[in-house]
Amino acid sequence: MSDRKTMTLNLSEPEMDVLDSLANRKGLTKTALIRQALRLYQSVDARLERGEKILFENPISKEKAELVVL
Amino acid sequence: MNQRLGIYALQNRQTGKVEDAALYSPVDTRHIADFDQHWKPAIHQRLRGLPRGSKTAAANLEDWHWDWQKKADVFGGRLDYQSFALECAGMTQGLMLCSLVRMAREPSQRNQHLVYVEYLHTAPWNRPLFTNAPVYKGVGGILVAAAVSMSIDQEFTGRIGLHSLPQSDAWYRDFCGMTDLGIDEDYQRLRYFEMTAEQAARFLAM
Repeated sequence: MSDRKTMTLNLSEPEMDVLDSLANRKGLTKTALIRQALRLYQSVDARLERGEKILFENPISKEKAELVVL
Repeated sequence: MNQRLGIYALQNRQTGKVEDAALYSPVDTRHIADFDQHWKPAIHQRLRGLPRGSKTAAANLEDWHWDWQKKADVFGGRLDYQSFALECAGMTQGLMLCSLVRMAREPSQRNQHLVYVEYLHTAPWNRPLFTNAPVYKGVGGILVAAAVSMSIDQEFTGRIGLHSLPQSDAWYRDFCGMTDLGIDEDYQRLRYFEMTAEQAARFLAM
């Protein structure tokens, strides 16, 4: 949609394995997956900056676990 | 920066003619000004004229409380939101806000990325029930098509999802061909709809 710039990304082998695996599972190219990760990171960061908490809920037990972002 | 994405055809119901409408992204200050100066007064005037005890659905106005200035304050500069405005005859005719970080729920595409339509808003004078003589037909369809196109552009294969206000349930199900996943108890008891890649292809081909 807007002008795009190119960058080189250096990843370790385990990091590249995770990127490959996630991209494969989500049906995305590696570029699209990195773009999506950046959006998610910004979204989480914006909520934490507002003092909100990120919680995961077990669908059966309804038990909640807080995601602690360091 | 605000960009014009394309020109689409809108049918003027009053003249019977087709007019050019321009789709922009993101929503700009002029679109919010149209909303504040033209949409809101029309909505509040219509609400004041409703008989006591009437439901807002009677005037096709279940979304009367949506406020685009407040939304713009939240989504401005965010990568996880994309906003769109449709202009025709020098006026904003439709507005849409989408989130790009939601996952699908429909079993065949569960946990795959989709474009989630947070808000889809058509100018009040285009709505049947709001007025006996609605002006433009096709605003909602163009905006849903924009959401589908963005989903394809982001490699989400056309998948979109949304919670519908009751006044729009039939439109999303019957006109857009989306799958009705029922009432969402965790989201104001609104119905949740999703469009699969196959449904998106059919919708775009209409």
